[in-house]
Amino acid sequence: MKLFIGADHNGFELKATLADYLKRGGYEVIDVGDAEKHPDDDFPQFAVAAVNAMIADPSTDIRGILVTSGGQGMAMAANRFKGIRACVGWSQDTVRDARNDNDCNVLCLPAHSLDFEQIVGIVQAWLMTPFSGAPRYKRRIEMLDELGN
Amino acid sequence: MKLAITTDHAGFEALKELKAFLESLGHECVDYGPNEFDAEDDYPEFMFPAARAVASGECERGVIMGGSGQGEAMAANRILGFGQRCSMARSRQKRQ
Repeated sequence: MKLFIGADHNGFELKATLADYLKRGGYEVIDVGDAEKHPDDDFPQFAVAAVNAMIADPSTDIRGILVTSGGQGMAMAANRFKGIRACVGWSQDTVRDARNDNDCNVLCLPAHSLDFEQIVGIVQAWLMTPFSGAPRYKRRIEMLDELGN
Repeated sequence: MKLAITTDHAGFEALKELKAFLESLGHECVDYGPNEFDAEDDYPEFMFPAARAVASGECERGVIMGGSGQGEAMAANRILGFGQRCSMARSRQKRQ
């Protein structure tokens, strides 16, 4: 699985730690920035960078991870794009639902709300939970992109 | 405040309670359905009209419900002009 990872200043340190962790786990991790910590940077820039990289990439097994203080803004920004289904990962239950029901492909992490052990549990749950593929869930996902623009 | 409210089947009963509560606070609720319980209904059908009402300014804010709220937030955020506005609410605990 290829993972595009991005963060604003509030997620900068967690992004680096998480990227190392995921690489050690055998994942291909591509950092879309920020390359250096800029306290005045704006999160949509990195959401857009990650999502555009995902959309442009022809491989099939691609996901994104976005980190900021609360995760909400990143999810709002990412969900603007067709084919992107972002959730805010507060808990393992949240992300299992989002994977199983919504085939969530972008995980937005609240860096200031959780410790690293919690983050790892959430990321693992998100990575390991398959989409159920239930026809009703597939139908609704198609509606997101067909009707939502 | 004028609020757009909606749900899919998962929040059908809860939305009625929420609507009564919001109205008791003095808010005006524009209900985007569903009007009848249908266990097979699809959340985007209800989320898009409610989100568009907020995007157009017809309603000031929206309160939308679903089984988990995830797909509903994805749908609402698809609507251009809905601003940065669809956040997920799971608790009122204040972040540190």
